[in-house]
Amino acid sequence: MGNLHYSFLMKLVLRIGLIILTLIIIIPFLYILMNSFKTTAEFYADIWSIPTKIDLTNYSMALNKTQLHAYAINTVFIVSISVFLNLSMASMISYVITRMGLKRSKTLYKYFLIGLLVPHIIAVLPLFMLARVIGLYNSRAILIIAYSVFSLPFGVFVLTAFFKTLPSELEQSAKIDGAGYLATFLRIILPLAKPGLITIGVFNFLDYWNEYILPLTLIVDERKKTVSMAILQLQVAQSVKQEWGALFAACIMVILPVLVVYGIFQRNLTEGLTAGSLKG
Amino acid sequence: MNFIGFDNYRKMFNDPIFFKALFNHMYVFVLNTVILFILSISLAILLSRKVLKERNFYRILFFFPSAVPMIIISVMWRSIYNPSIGVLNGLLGLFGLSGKVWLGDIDLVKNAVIAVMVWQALGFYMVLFMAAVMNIPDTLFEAARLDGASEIRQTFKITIPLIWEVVRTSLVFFIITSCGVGFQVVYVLTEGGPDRASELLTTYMYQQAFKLNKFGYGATVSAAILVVTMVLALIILKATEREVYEY
Repeated sequence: MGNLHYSFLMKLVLRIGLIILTLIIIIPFLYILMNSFKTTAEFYADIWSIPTKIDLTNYSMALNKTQLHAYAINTVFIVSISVFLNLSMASMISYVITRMGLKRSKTLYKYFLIGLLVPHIIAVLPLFMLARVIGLYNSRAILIIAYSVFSLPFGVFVLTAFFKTLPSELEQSAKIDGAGYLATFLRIILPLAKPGLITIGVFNFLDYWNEYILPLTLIVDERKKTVSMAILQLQVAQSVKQEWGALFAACIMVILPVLVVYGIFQRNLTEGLTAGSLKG
Repeated sequence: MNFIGFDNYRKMFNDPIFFKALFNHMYVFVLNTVILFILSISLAILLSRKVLKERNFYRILFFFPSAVPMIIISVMWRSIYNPSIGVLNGLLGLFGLSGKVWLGDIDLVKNAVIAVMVWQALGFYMVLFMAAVMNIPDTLFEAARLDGASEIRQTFKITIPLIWEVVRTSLVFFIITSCGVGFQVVYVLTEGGPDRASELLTTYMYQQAFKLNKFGYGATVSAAILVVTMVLALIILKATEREVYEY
């Protein structure tokens, strides 16, 4: 849209509205950040006060009480394998759909798209039953399988749209040079698809790191649970003892990696959101 | 495993709690969708115009909540709504208003849940629509301006018709994904209480299947969730059907 000549007053009204909205977005985060540094007594005395000193008791308490670092390592393990598996599968499937010239490639594509139309939460119960039957209940494997497969529709959707835009001359010249399907895929297509892969990867990383319905229903063993479950555990403890400090501190520690990833890949997220997914 | 035919469905249609959850589910999802889309579309249109230099700042900031773990958002808002230490009652107090028991009040709790869901998703959809608005060629607006069309007229005659298909796709996508979001918010905030005033179909399914081990009945409620979601999506698609404009 072009430059518009808004009056000073209009801009002022707009800015005030946006600043109020900014405050509504920021205050919850500031509130838990500020109060994560306070002792329980300080906290109950005045929730608005700025902490007099940076007191890390809550943080060490959160770490000791829940072994948050152990959950974090476990989560990183599960998330990274899931992201890798998802990207490998999604890119191969999309390549087959767009490039192999299969008779039923449209049907195959639609089959994956149906996955976008199903709310994941209704799959939780059948997944739970299945996991018990095949002996994967309470295992990291079931989380990894579920995560990497649940987000396949999204990955296939974005990547097929992307592969369609690639000129087929690329592959033809690779074929003339004697490269097979696999070599063409790995050496030519994948490097070109890198921006799309990064976007899907980051979305999935955040999804898996953030999601808690699956670990809640499929895992009982504390060592195999994810960071969200550690927060849940602290939240239950909080409702009994009315101590918010450790809970807030744990929240801050779990948000930090998200903030870092968001800071680095913010552009991929906000731009990738529309690049492949809407104009496909 | 033994099959009991349609017994669970018969049970479901005689279950007053199911109908309460169904009502709450529809209430929360319809209101949430309407508020969220009106807000995010208006914001996207306002911020897409190059009147504010700092708009990129808002884009990055408003999008952030959708990247934050749901559990943390729910914990945060649970503390915000807390009657004694919560920010919300604290703020009301500053203006001399009396606070409320947001999550303990049958009339307020559903709206409290909707507020969290809107807060969480607003930036995501705003960014989505901003990109759609900015894809519209400038020439269309220039032509309209030369013809003397006002800002508001341009918005309703050019911008909204041209992003309409994106809005429809997003509506369906939102209806489907927000099922899980609703569960994750309510599970921490209220666990469906007080007196099941915020019980959604998803939380009811979870309670039946995983707390009470009634897996069969849980599966029946799951099927109901699928049907409700599909029906909502179809209604939305039908109701928003317009002539498609290309540019």
